[in-house]
Amino acid sequence: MRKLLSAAAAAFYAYSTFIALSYAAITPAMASAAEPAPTVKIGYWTSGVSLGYGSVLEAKDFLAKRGVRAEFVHFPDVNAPLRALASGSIDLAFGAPVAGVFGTAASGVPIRIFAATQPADVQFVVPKDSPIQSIRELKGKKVGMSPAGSSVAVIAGAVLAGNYQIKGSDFALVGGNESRLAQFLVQKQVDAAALRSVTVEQLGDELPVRKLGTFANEWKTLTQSDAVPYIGVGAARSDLVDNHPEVVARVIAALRDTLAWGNANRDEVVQILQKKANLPADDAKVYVSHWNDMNRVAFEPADIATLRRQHAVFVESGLVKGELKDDLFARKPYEQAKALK
Amino acid sequence: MNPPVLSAHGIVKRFGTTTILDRIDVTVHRGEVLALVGPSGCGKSTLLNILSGLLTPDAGQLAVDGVPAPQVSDWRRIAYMFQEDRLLPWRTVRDNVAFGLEAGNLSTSDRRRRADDMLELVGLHARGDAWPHELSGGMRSRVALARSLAVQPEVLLMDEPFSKLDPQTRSQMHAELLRIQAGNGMTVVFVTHDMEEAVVLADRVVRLAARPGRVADVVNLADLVRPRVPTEPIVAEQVRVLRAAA
Amino acid sequence: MRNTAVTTIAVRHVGTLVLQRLLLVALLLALWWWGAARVPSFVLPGPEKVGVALLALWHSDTFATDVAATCQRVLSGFVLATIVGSGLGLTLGASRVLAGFFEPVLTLLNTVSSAIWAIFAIIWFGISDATTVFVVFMTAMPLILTNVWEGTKTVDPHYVDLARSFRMSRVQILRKIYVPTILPHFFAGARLAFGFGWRVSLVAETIGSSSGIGYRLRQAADLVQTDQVFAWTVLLVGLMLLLEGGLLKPAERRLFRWKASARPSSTPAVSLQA
Repeated sequence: MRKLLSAAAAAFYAYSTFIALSYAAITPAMASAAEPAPTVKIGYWTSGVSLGYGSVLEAKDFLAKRGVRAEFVHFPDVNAPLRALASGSIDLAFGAPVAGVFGTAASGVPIRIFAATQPADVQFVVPKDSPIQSIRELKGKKVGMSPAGSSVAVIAGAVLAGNYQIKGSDFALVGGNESRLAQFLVQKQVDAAALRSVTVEQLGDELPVRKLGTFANEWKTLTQSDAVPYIGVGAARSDLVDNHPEVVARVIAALRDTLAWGNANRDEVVQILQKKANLPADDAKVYVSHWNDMNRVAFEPADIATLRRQHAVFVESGLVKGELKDDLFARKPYEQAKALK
Repeated sequence: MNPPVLSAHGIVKRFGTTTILDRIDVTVHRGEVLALVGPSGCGKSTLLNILSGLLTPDAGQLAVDGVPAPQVSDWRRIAYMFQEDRLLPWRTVRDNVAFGLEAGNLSTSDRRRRADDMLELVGLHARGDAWPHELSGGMRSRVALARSLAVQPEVLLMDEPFSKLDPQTRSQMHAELLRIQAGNGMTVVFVTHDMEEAVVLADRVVRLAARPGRVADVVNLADLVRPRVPTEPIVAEQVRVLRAAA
Repeated sequence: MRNTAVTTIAVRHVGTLVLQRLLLVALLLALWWWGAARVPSFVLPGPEKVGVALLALWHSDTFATDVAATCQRVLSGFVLATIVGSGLGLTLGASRVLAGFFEPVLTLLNTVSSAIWAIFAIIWFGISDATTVFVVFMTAMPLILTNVWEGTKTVDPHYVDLARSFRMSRVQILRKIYVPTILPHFFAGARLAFGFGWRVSLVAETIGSSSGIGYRLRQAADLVQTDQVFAWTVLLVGLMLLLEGGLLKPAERRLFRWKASARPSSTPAVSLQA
């Protein structure tokens, strides 16, 4: 009896090993098929802030017009583009989370920042019927925001500590994404939250809240300047930036074109969002109305100074270790892009 | 003179250190009904297994129609019927009967036809599409018999085939078997612990003694007229004699 | 005469069942409606909102590709799991030595949750189909393996001897005795594996893919489109019910008609005269 089973098992075994091996052989083979040099693999998180901008960039042919052959990769979560950059699966991410970029670069991964792209369009809000009247009163309270380690969390920590002497240990950070935070507010599981302006407007009457302040204003107070903090930057592999700065320059130019076009053709952007992300018309319109607040392509000295300041704050809060190397900021492509009209 | 259909000579079988069969000589003549009787542990089932060619003895020779066992190629002439009906639960009654035929070369429709014929022979032609679990013990035994007969064996070896049936059903099966055997001249060798059954059915009775298994004596019942009703004095006397000798 | 009585009873039985199911659905909908009216729609959207979202999804451009992508991944993982799981199950059934040796590995496989496989898959395969297929495979394979292995243990040596007594070849014995014996066990394992496989594929897709139902679920959740999340859920439940009722249950009924099931009391017992 056992001999019979052995015979059958042997046959199955051989067959299954064959299947498994061929599958394993095919998958990496497909991944590592030789790619022609000029194609740039661009990745972005198809949600949050990057969704609108990325959808337009993909839908329109601004990159092609600038002579850049681009391949897009969609990621389901915010940090995935960064991991992909580190592992080399993509060459460029136009909206990489800034905290993550600093941390990754500090650990030696060869990436460079070529532009500041996503300002922090975030507000401190409380439920409309809350007794809290100012940010000062957040001491000892539960505040919801993006999880610890995210750019939002670090910026929030910095302004609370810097402007109101509310240290990290003086409030309870409740982490979550926009959906979760809105839910927490409604169900009174947090006293306040740091939410994107888009979210607040999108939910409208369903989420009755009062604005206590914005990241932009708090940062201005903190730095005694007109600077606005960034949550996302354009980052690319060092070898792309160093060896083909003109390609990156063309990408920057295309990003600029996208920004301008989106601003001038809001209705079309709404259409694109509806199709690409199944967003209902109303929500898409709200999203697009914040176009200029959420998206930017800037790398002037002031922006770089802001990023440096952010890095200092991150180091202070223990999130990032190590020195800020100057070559992290690649200015050359941006300057070159200025020449491209 | 034709060689006996089965002849076993000097058969020895051991399981571990126990000798189950100790130099057994048995001859089975074509067309006869032979009973193997004996107390439990005398190796009668083991002997039957060896006669079927399914079990190899440790010593001794088996010949089928004079051909030594190692050179026999058409074992399918010998059918074996187990003590339990061993009907495959996932097959209908008809498919169970056709089971043995699937080792051979018949076409599907031929197999089906033969199965139906066999079912008719054992009186179950209406139950061809039933599932084994729907049948009574007696019906299942009949299906098992039909299955063995379907391959049209020259020799039918049966291991206590009717021991699990109630007396009334058993008598019916005895009559069935004798009727079929009379019809096709099949050789039948059966093992039983029931002396009455042996006397009712057999032409000859080989009585085995136990520990170690050996042939005690061979009784010829050819003179006993058929049909043999167990209540008749002659038959009852024969049964008593056999029982006393054990 | 008995046949019409049985038929009437059967019809009444089916009718009662349908009525019960409809009542249950109505009750659930009513509860849902009541609950949704009390909280903001982004926490619990009402049935009408979800219905509208479902229709919108159905007509969207990417719907077909996303559903196809997920189905494809689940099927691939499942088929691979079937082949490997059956093969290994037979192997362990054949060799007691191998079975004893590898049993701890099996326990380990069963203990590691699919969330951990998902994390490994992301590291090894990145954002790709292979990630989801791998997670489905690692979840489904042990289930099928265990069940097939158990199945080999239940093969009745009496039936094997029966086949041998008819001088059947090894292959014939495998086909005619082993396969029918192991099939019910395999089916049970496959059903479990399929159910679990679907669930974990969604989890894997939410972190490891750029398309598919899980990906869309995640995107909708991130964009605070709670009605879409519910719509996808309703869709999945519907799909599962359809597969179960339309494919798996009838298949099971057909394949295993021969099993002696407890008969309903409406059928009188058959007379057991030989």
